[in-house]
Amino acid sequence: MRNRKHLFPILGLLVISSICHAQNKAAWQFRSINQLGLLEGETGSAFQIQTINGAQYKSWFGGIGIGLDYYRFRSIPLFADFRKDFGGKNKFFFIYADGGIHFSWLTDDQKRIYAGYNNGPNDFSNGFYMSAGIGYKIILNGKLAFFISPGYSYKKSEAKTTTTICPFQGPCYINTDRYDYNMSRLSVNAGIEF
Amino acid sequence: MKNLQLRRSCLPLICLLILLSAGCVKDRVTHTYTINIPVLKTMTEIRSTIKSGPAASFENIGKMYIQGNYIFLNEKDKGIHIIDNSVPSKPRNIAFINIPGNEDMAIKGSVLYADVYCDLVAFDISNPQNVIAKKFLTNIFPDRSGYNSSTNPDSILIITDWISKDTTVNYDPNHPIYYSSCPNCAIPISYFNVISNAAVPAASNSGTGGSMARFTLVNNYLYTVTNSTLNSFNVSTPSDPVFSNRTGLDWNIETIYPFDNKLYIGSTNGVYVYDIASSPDNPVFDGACMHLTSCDPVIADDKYAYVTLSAGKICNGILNELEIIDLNYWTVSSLGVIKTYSMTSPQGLSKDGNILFICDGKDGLKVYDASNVMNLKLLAHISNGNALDLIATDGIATVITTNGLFQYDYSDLTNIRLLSKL
Repeated sequence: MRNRKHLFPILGLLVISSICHAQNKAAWQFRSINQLGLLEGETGSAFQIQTINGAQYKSWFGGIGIGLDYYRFRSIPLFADFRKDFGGKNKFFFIYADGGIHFSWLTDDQKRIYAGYNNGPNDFSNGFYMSAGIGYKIILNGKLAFFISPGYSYKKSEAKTTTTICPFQGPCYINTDRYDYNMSRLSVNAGIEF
Repeated sequence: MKNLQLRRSCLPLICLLILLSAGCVKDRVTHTYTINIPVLKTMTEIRSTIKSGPAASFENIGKMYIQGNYIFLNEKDKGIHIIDNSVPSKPRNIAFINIPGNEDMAIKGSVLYADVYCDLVAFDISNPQNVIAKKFLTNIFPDRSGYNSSTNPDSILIITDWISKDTTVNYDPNHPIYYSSCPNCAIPISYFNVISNAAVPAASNSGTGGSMARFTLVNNYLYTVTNSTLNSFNVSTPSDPVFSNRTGLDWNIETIYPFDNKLYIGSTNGVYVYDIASSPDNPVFDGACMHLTSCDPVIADDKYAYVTLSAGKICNGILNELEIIDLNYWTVSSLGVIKTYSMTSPQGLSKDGNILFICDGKDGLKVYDASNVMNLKLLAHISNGNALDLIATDGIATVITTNGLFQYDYSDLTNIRLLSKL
């Protein structure tokens, strides 16, 4: 249910973006941003890969992104992306901001390491995802551009284990252990835009 | 343009600075757990709340006992439902006895024996709607009073409930919790020296308990198991039970089943057999068959013992199967187990003649032709919720499931039909 709550605004944005694109083809241009990134945080280094597709209007860009994020727990971020270009003709500075949801998709090793009580499965929830930063973009030829962008990224997960405990004395009771992971990372992304 | 070039040359520096300053960002991990504060009451306070009352709805049903036209159904830690089963197709829930801490029961004639936390109480149930407590044996199950040695009910404190409070603390993310568990590390051993004797008829006025029972009656003795002991009580005068003996057992004892002058005791680690022919007040160890760790009620007939092994968090097991043990032949290498059958999540079981009934958890009730134990034939598979335990006798199978109490007529095995659901 919580996933849907995040998903609907994102889909809505996509629809609006498409409508605008259809209404004013001259002003709106389809753009695809594909990037590889390095995430650095307390847990160490991890890679991420993302593709963001949307529409450019003058110096503004809005789109939908999806990717793979290997920091601490593997997950799939799905987010809305907004960018604004500044500067010259073939070389731009830009700022960007992403917000959305990430879907937990733990590897077998991660499931083992983060197993719950008695090796029971921890119920890893999906959670909030955001990212923001600056970047520098160079037009290589025509529409193809290369960019590099440092920034900050954050994702949140909740792991919950519910166990029925029957102590020697007293009635059984349900014990809930919840771990909230708030993961802050610095990121450097590089990729191409066309 | 100059500005742009300056900024462009700064960007790699910014990237480098970001990577070098990664140690400045921290993951924040919190652990939220429950602290449970016990609610304590004296046994005197608890006893004062024991009383008959009107019928209550089923919430968390446990053990079952059938005596004559009545079904007695334990509501875990709360008491016993009494069901008038004069007409099995129309059972009536007629009363509820409030017995805090009750988990087990057995009935001899018109006397019901039940545990009240650490006490054993004998009720006169001549009038099932107005039962009367006739005698308490104080702190006879000390494992449920925290091994308090007192026999004064005013000084025995019992945890009757928990007050839960959530607490959140910071958690070191560099040391994730990893439960190294080896649930089935038990080393299989087997030594079994059971020799079947002539059948001993059960006391005619005793009822029938399920395979998950921890109380059982044989002639003039009530036998109960706790987590680690076997207790015997002389009930020659039913309303005046007298404690006879306590025998130490292994840990994690679960069930007790009487057959042929033997007591078959199921534990998470195996089956123990005690002989009661020569000294019923002091059962004598007769043999054991150890297996990998699992929940395992056991029943027996004159040739075989039937054990269901069920995996799960409580028993730490991974096996889900039916084991058949030959009581007349066993070797160390075979563990006495001559055949195993894969199951889904087997719980209680019952046998009537050659018909074997198994509650297979969420898979429901399974009925087998067990005339050849090496080749059980599935006769019927009935889905009725999470099947937990049953008693099959006189053509009627009474089954406890998470969906309630079901009764089936199995007099015609080709057409097992539902008689009632409560």
